[in-house]
Amino acid sequence: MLALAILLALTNGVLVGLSRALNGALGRRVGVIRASLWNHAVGFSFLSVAAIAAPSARFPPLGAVPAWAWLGGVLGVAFVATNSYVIVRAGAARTAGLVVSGQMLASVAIASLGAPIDRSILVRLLGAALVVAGAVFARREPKMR
Amino acid sequence: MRDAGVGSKLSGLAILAGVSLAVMIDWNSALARYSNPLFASWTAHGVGAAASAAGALGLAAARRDAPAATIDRRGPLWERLGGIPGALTVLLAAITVNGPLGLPGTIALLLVGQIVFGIAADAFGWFGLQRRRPTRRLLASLALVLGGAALVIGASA
Repeated sequence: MLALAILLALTNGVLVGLSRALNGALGRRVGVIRASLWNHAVGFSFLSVAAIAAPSARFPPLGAVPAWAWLGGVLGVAFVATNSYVIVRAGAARTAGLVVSGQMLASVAIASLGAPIDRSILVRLLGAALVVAGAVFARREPKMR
Repeated sequence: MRDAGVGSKLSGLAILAGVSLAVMIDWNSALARYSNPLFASWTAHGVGAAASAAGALGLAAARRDAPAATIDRRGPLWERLGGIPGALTVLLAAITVNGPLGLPGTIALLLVGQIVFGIAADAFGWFGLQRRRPTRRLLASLALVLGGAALVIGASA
């Protein structure tokens, strides 16, 4: 059970990389905004089929959803377009590393703002420092090796 | 070929993409709490399709959308299917989050999987990527990023 879960979660990471590589390849041909449009339209169609297969998921009671919670897709457009631009120029591994860096730093900021200073915050800040070191280190290769 | 590294503009853009991803996950998770992961991802893709269609129309109107004339604009069909693994990610994550790995294990392995895939895709030149062997410096920096991420994820658990 644990082995299967680990395999699924690792596969999920491969899917993230695969999606980024495909959108990057398309972005070179049609531009990164159109690549982002293809990504979202194809994903929407795919999930529509999934929703038909799982009818209970289609129209949940939505109560008082805050307005901003509907707007994640707008950030998704920027995310896909930016990834597609960067991956063909910086390579897949470095792009993945830098995107992960930004994601980790932002999540530390989101979780730590206004939180009391305790051991958990200090560990997170240490983690953030390592991430920054890795990102700076990833940026440039030395002139000659 | 030898990997020459990248400038600050590309680095900054990639880091900003990661920041927008973290905020997007925050917003989508909020929507999923009021509904379910499938509905939240479906909605996000629909909103994203509308927003990018508006962006594409704006670029076409401003005639700013032409890529290099030397490139074949059609390309193979599979290049258009990046949205499928992207959408599957959300569904798979919703499964593993509720298993023995929980949220921290799911995120950590997601990061490892995409970085290992990136190294392989570069090394073999998959999907039209320029072939580049990973330098020791890049591998060390990716290990630093993953180590830092493990601390961040572990402390948030």
